[in-house]
Amino acid sequence: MEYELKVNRDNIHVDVDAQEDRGLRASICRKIEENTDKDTDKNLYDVHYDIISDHRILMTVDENGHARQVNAYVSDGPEGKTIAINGRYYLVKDLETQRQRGGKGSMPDTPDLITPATPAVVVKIHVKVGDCVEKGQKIIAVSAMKMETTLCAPYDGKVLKINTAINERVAPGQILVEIEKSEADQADTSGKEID
Amino acid sequence: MFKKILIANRGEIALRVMNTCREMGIATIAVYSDADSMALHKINADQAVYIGKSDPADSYLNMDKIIDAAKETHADAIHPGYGFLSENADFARRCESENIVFIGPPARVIDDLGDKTKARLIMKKGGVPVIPGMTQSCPDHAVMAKEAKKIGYPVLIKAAAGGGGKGMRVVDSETEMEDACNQAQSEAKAAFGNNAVYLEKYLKKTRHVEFQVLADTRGNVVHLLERECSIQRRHQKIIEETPSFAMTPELREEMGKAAVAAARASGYVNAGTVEFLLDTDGKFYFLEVNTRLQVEHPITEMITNIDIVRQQIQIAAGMPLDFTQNEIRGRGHAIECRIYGEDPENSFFPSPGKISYIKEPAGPGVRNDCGVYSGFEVPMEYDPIISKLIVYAADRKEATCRMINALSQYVVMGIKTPIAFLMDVLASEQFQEGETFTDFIETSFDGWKQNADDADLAALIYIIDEMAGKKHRQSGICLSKVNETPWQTLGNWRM
Repeated sequence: MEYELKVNRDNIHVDVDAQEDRGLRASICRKIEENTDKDTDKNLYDVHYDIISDHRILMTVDENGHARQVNAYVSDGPEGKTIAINGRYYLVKDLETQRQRGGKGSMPDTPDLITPATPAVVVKIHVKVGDCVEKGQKIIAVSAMKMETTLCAPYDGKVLKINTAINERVAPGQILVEIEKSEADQADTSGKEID
Repeated sequence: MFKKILIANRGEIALRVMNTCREMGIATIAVYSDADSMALHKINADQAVYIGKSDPADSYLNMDKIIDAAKETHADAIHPGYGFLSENADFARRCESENIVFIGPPARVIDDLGDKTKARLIMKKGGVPVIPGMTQSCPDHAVMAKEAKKIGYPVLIKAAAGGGGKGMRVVDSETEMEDACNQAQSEAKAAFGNNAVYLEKYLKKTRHVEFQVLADTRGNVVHLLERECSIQRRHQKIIEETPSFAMTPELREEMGKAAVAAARASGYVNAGTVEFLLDTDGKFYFLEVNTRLQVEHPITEMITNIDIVRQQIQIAAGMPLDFTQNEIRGRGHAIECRIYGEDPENSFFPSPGKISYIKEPAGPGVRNDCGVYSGFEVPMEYDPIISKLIVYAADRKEATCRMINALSQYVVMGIKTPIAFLMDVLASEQFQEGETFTDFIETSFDGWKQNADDADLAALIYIIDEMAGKKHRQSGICLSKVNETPWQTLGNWRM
């Protein structure tokens, strides 16, 4: 079986064969650059595993004839599995199943939208409907765990709609303020087609 | 002695206070908000009183509700913990007028020391060295510029009502003064409802060294040695240790005397912390007094073997200190790491959410003051501290190794924590050589990212969990299901 995984920031390709009695033989390489077929040298692994509990896996890795025990902890989340090994944390996503689902993952990449990074409470709204705003201008301030964050306009434009109010609880993905991109800005980003 | 103590706080510190109360045979009353209806401090108390909505203003900061809860449950005393109402003089006054003992210093002392300029004046009069600068707040940037010229740039503008780095600005030259002054004033106004600012010399390359003091109602004052808390992010401490790497017996004696003098000069009663900046020449300057139980108090408890919460309760009950300065000895070395719900790879941004799994470390000399459990939803309304990991060992080197090992066995899933970051800081050459100054993180760990050494192993674990983990997990549950199609039982498969 082959897996295309993303482990934190690395893209990792795993070719794995299940062996008898909870064993695995795997070869792992990683993409050096995105969009190329250049891979690193393959690392070969001969492992044996035991499922200790719902969250704990013991893996024994054969290293030049010596068996090294690795205790790992696993937790499923909306973006993939978080795996803890010796105090280090890895978010592991299966790129293939995500592709099959038709999305980049459950959390859309939204740098152009006014949405909070974590669950938060709205503390200030700096604009009103109809306001013209410039890129970088303060739009709305939210607070989470005593830390205030200001979300700014991603581009020049006009405030179309405000979908929240002061003291309202909001979540990532929720669009708090809708801004219509100004024509000049649109021309800027899609300049070639207009020409 | 008190029969019942209400703990006007939440999280790990409420649990910490509860433990000592139990040991002393005192009943404990928790208060809780909507967000904390399943919080550990609420669950573990002898009694728990609901005090309102999740917003702190409606619950943990609401004096009326907390006083009502204390009266309703016939509490003799209130322990405020840290944060929330712990340094609120009005609350201390209110307790007094309601005949409930406030476990902390008198209201007047909280008032005096809460005003940073007033505190500087008290210390100056008491012979405690203060940072060169103003002892009165000043609304005029021109006057500030004049003072800055006198003491020399760079200077620091600070909020008189300040704390937590709010309303603070470093000014390098006269041209920056007006803007910096205005910004500091508006930030101070927003944070504390008071725009008073003042100016002091900005000291480069300093350590944050503080002394724990205890003062009883009979005029006995002692200090419980120092703590070094130089490793900070956003002016908040994340690693603390005692003794300080920079300390000599002579300097400890001198600074300890200054801390006791500071407590006496302000008429201090109960437990408090006198904070100093220590420069590379061994010169130290008064920073401020924290009139409460400090977050990092456990490291002092570890090396002195004195339970500070027990001392607080005994002092509040009018009992004298039962030891003198000469009887206080520090043994070994203690380190604390604060485990916050935050992302060290993203400017320590808060990371609230549900803790899907937690495994606390254990072992000789390991203490974890923890306020959460597996399945608990860490609320976004409050401080992101989830636990404090403390280790104690014979010396600094052993304590550092013990901490790294304890961190490596600490598993917190579902939210982000700085566990891996803290391990790297402790393992760094700078830390191990005691090169710990208040700019440590900015200069040595800015833009930190976790290394990917075990990424291959993580990938293998992922696959094992997919292949075997699911089946294993379902095996127990699936026994009751009978009418399954192969499509339900096959799980994930691929060709």
